[in-house]
Amino acid sequence: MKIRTKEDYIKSLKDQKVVIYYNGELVEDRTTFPAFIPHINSAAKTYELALLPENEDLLTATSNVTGKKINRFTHIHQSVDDLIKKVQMLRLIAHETASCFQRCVGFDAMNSLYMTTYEIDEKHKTKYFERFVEYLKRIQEENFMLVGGMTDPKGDRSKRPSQQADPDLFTRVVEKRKDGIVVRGAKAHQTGAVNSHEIMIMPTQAMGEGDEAYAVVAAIPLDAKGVTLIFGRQTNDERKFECGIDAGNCEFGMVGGEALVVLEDVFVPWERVFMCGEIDFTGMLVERFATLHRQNYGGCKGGVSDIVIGASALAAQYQGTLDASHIKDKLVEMLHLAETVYSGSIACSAMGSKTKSGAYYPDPLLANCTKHNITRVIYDISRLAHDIGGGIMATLPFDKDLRSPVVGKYVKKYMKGVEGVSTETRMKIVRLLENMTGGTALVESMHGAGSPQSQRIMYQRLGKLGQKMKMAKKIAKIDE
Amino acid sequence: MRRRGAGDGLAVDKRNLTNGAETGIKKVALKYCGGCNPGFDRVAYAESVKSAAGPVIEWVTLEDEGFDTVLLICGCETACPLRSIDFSRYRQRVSIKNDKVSPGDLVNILLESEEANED
Ligand SMILES: Cc1cc2nc3c(=O)[nH]c(=O)nc-3n(C[C@H](O)[C@H](O)[C@H](O)COP(=O)(O)OP(=O)(O)OC[C@H]3O[C@@H](n4cnc5c(N)ncnc54)[C@H](O)[C@@H]3O)c2cc1C
Repeated sequence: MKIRTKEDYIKSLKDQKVVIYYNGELVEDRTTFPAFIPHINSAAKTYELALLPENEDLLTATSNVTGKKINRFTHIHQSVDDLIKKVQMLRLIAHETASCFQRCVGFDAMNSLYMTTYEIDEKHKTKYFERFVEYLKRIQEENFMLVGGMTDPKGDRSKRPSQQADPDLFTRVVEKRKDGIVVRGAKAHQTGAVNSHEIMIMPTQAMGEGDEAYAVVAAIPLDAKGVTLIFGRQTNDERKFECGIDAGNCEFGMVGGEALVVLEDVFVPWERVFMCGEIDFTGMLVERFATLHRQNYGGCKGGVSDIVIGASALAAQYQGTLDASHIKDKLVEMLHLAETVYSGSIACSAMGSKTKSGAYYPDPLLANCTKHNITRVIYDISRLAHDIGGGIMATLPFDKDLRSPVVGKYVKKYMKGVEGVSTETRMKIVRLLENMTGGTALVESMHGAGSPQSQRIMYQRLGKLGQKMKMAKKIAKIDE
Repeated sequence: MRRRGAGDGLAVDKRNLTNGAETGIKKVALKYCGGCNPGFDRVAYAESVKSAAGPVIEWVTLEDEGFDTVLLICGCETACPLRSIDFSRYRQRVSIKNDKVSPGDLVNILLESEEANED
């Protein structure tokens, strides 16, 4: 693995010059730009923890293509145990960052492509799998961070890609050449994009006849000509610049530091193209990527929730309510919800199965169920945190007020909770809760890995309703 | 041969031990579980075992050679490495799933000769 340490990772980002805009300005150096540092710190944990003996079992794996020890985020799942370890790893890293650490999307893209290119080749006699394995070897060797680029801007959602007024609202192939293809469009909400090395673009939905140009999968280095990143604004983002209490979690990011990735006539050589026009496999790829991605959420969000629960208990302790029976009960409810989502992720992994390629795949119904729970449970956990934390979460004065020679004494006096705990300590925990339970942090739980309706569609498809009706008839002794 | 302390999360698995009698220093490979949601601080616990052992134990990893005892520190009852790693090739495996056993006692178990094994 070429990139091993946090320092290697940062150097690799510095060496690759990517065009990134933040708040209307071109970013000169992405590794020193204050808004990106917390996101870099989060992703760096995926490298740092892999080097620790106490975490290597989860953070590393043995490559099925080279036999070498690799970072698990570049691994193709070879067993149910690998699927479970993935979820365990996500919970572990979330305990370190209390936020998204971004590398799962590329990880899921690679796994879904490994399985799907194998099956495309089987049917169409193409050579995508072989190409993909070569690409995978390089990613494993370099230990690159890959963006999982599925979501297109989509414009008018009631229309198919080829029916849009502007055909670029879905990413498409605009030219096929002898040596490669030219791609135009954009990928929206791209997690970790500003601190990644490459993006894997994939179709955003199942494509039908007439949409062949949109059935494209390709790996694009983020410094390729024509690639521009525009960073997304987040709740209270400028607080991170101050590096003080007000940021809540100033060392690490909030969600994944998403960006809009614009692809303006980007050339991609054929060896980096893993689907081009095979509309019949777009549905399979989207479903597999979504399942692998939905599998994650009880791991990472379960882990993030562990921090919210700990912070809620501390907030209660600091204001003298921890022993109140209803507070204890609310904390128990939060624990129950966090372990429930974690159980879902473990269950879909435990029920995983082998695909034709040999790679393992989680149970899709249970994975969808896990993510669907996340769209509710994280809001419920946050609601309980808000209840326990009190109104101070919305009205707390600035860090600078606490340090002011004039009003500091009032903040210290009137924001104090129990004896023996400083006002500053109480403010820190309240700000952490605010940071983790509002605004941008919540929306990720709703839409990341697909909006709730996309999971409900999977229930309709995989829920075996007909079988359940038969079982009910049998019990009720109905013959007709 | 297997010994289990009731509820103390300790398991000892021994076969034909060669202890480090010639040098007086025993090599022990330290292995952790992945640590997804541990019930105690595994690294702090390992550090206290190391300081309780002092120079009589030389700590190595599973990738090294010349040891026949493994200390496996797991964060919970599941003890994932017991599922995924074949420990049968090592002569003695001591696994810990919580921090109830005192570091001093654990060192004694690691240093025990075969004759002292009560199983
Ligand atoms: C924090 C965050 C991180 C993300 N990271 C990534 C990433 O790394 N890579 C990536 O590819 N994507 C990423 N996503 C994108 C995510 O997958 C999408 O947000 C999700 O699929 C929903 O798409 P959308 O945002 O366009 O919402 P919309 O599609 O606009 O959905 C809004 C609502 O409209 C409904 N709707 C949409 N289309 C239709 C229709 N045709 N008919 C009826 N109802 C419809 C939806 O069900 C939903 O209720 C991320 C999103 C977030 C919020």
